[in-house]
Amino acid sequence: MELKGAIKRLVQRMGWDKEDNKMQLPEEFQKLLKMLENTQEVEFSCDDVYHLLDQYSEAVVQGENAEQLMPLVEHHINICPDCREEFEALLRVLQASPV
Amino acid sequence: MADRTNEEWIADLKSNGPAKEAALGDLRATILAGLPYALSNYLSPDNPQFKSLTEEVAQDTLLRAMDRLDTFEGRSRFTTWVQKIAIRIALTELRRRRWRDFSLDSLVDENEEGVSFPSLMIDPSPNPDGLTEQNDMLQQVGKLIEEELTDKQRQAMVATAIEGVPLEEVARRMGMKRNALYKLLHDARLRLKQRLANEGLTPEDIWAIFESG
Repeated sequence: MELKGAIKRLVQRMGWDKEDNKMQLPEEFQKLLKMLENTQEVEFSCDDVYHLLDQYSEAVVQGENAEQLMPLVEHHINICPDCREEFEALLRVLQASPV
Repeated sequence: MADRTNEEWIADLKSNGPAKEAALGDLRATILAGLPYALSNYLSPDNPQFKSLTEEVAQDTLLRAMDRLDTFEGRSRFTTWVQKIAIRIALTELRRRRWRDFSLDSLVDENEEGVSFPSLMIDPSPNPDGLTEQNDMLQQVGKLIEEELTDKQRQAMVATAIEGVPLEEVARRMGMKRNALYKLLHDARLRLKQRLANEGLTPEDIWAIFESG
């Protein structure tokens, strides 16, 4: 499979290697690549994250380094839109009535 | 409202009589006070649906929290744990309403080769010269996806990552739990990443090619 060659030819034809950087990779393709880039062998599932979400959110509100303390939670909420929404909602509640 | 420690919350909720009633009332008030913030991106308190939704969520949350009281490990404040439950219940309901008319079938292109990855194929390029090769490349990626992923994985990936349908709603339509769907998607991503690697490519490589030419 000549994927690499095909991409390179495409880039040259689209003028991506020139000044005009307006030409975009198709958005869907970008999303796909981003997703693959963020894929790890070991990831937390939604249940794993739900289990820790209250503790994680309090740590964030209290200014602790939650991302470093619980990197797998951080990773998951950057990939999973459902869990991210729930995290952000909980954060808003906690910020409104600080710990 | 009485300030309670976690232990006091649990003790009151496990008791019988007035202490329990008072704790349930306070917990309900706490949930209702939090929901306007939790839902601020989704539903305004001025919305006529707001009151009935939040009353229902508060009720369901109390039931679920009482049911799972023994699973509370004290890793957070008790009220944070309860707010987390309320948010899960509220957002699940709002997602269900919002995506009520959505069908997974609307996403797939049935052709002679079966289900394809339709949204990857349609991108009318402003550059007609580039169009053919662009399509060539996308076709190749599409082929790779077709070879590596099951129909279910493909469908789930298009729906969640590209169409922006919540995992919860895709999972419901596939007859599985959101947790299981996440695992299915994780497996799909790992397979694709591995296949790209077998082709001598990492996602980073592809970005680099596009960014630097």
